Amino acid sequence: MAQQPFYQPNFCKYLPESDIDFSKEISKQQVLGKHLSDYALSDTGIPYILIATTLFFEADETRIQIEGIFRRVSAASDLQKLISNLELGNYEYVFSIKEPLVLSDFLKKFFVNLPDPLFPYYVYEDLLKFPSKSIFLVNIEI
Amino acid sequence: MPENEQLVFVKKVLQDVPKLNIKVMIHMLKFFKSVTKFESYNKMTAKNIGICFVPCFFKRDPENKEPKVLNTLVLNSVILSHCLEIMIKNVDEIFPENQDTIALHKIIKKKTYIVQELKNYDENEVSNKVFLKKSHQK
Repeated sequence: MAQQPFYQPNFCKYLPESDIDFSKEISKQQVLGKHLSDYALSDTGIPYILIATTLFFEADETRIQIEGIFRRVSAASDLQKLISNLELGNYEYVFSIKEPLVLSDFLKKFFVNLPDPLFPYYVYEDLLKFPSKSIFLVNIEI
Repeated sequence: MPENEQLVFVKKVLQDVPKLNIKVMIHMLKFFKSVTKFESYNKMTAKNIGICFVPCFFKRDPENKEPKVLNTLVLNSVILSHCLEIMIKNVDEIFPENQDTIALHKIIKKKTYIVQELKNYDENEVSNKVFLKKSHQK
């Protein structure tokens, strides 16, 4: 995994090297927009973030029963809060969220921002030949 | 069109997809199937979930030089959403259970254990990085 360059404020030039504390800059991790293999993977080879989000829904069935889950969007500020907490490695925050729509929205954002889509480009082209009746009906309507 | 034919087609297309992607696919498709069990409450059938997740899972190749025509793009997304719908309904037949998926179920049962593991992993990584940075400076 490539190391990101650390932001060093201007005044750091005047300090002795031993006084500069990098820990705050280092602890921030990129959450969205990484390749799948760059995420912290569990033993089964699935990113921890995905396991945490699905566990959130499986822990309590009433969270899945909300009408229009995955279709409706959450408040942008709540989503930003979640992302900034995950950047700091605070995974426990996921389980303290009261609005399930925030996590369903996060799941969608996670997959949209992957540099390589979950289904590779050639699968997109190949699946278009999918044998189905309904395709012909749609073709006529358009 | 018989469903068997569609399943064979999907299996054939997904043959050469990287293993990591396949594992994530299985995880997500099984999760969606569990969501559809409550479709009388949340009104999210397999079809609706397919429509919602097509723009997340599929992207057109940016190097594809064919002109973008709105009608064909709409038609493509309809076909792909239909495809996702059938994949959600028949996850267990497209990806039959093997050692990987069995191990996954075991891990999901240990819910609290995973949360602890998550914390430990991040702390270790951060402390390693700090150590590396300091040793580099010296």
